[in-house]
Amino acid sequence: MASKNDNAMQARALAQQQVAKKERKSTIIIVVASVLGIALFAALIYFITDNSKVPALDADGAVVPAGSDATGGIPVGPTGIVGVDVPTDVPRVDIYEDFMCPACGKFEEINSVDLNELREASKISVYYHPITILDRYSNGTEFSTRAVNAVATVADRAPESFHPYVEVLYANQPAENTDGLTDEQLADFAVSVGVSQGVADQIVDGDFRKWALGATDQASQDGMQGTPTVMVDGEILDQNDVSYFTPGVLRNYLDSL
Amino acid sequence: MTGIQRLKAAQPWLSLVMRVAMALTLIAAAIPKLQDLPASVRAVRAYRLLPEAVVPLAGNMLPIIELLLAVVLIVGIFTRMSAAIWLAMMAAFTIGVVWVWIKGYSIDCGCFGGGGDVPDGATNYPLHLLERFGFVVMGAYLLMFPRSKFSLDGWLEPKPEVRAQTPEGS
Repeated sequence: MASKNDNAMQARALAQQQVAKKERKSTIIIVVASVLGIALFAALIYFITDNSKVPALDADGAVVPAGSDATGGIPVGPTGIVGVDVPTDVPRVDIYEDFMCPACGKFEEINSVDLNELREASKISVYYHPITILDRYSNGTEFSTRAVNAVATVADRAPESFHPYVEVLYANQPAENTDGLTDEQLADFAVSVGVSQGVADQIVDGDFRKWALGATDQASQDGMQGTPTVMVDGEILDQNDVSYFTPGVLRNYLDSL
Repeated sequence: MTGIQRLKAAQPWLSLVMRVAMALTLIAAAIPKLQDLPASVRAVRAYRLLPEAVVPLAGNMLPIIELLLAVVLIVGIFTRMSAAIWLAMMAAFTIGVVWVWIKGYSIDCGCFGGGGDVPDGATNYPLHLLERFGFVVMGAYLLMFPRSKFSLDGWLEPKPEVRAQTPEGS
């Protein structure tokens, strides 16, 4: 009898031990699963509320440069002034460039004279899309975004100097993985192409940074995958069809349209 | 020790190596994305696979999910389920690479940040798929042998002790 009792007690103790173990296990699993669930949920909420990361072009607080359109393009007409007399019955050329992108500097070097001549002759309209996809190449100074902000500031407040400003920035393009130009240097280059000191001093305010991000995301939605991207009447120009890094090829193509 | 015994003894250690390697891979993938979330969104969009409505969600949440999975793997809880999720993610990414390859898109995979179009010839889809194959092997091993050293799973459910069969009455 005694031995039977002992056995029963042992069995009960063992069962209790196992139940306690199971409870400990479920507690830990519930805690870990809850933590994971809460973390995911928090990330989701953060994503929904923090849409400032990728604002729409017309997001609250985004300052849009005068003359720019819904695609984030800054149109330059035959006079070279933003938004003035831009012809609508000629091929529309959209150029997507990042100021940190060496290939964009190359593209400008090869094609800017041709594009200017065609534009000045009202054979094409040119929409410049300064975008920012290469911030990671400027040691954390976000040169790409700052440069877009700078040219957008000039487009908005000194529209006759926008295009010369873009050209001078490409002519003085910093190398990748450097700090890029400082806001002061950006302002100095603006003054060098005729922007008033008063406007140049507003570059540092960064009013157009939000627009820069929105315009970049819009460009991506419109099919831009890298810089430079050239679109003619809304279609991406394939380098296999028109090898625009060969001097004269882009001009001949646009002439033939 | 026979070969099989040796293998059995090594298995929890090998599973630990897999867990850590997978977690480090995920962290290496998540950090550049977190540093430039808009780029992560563009990289997702570059695959031209998901509808625009979910592209920003996918681009923003992917690095967070990668980090959470890394934490779970390091802690060593829900190991088998983590391995299954890892394999599901690898399946999705592999479909992505095969898709862009078939479609002839010239993009960077964006796996470890970056992404978007690259010049023709700069893509290396076969190498990407080989890399993916390695990741799948790691995940499959952990799915088959989730028991590993230094894991919360192991602490919660210690290996059942092999009781010596004591003959009755001895």
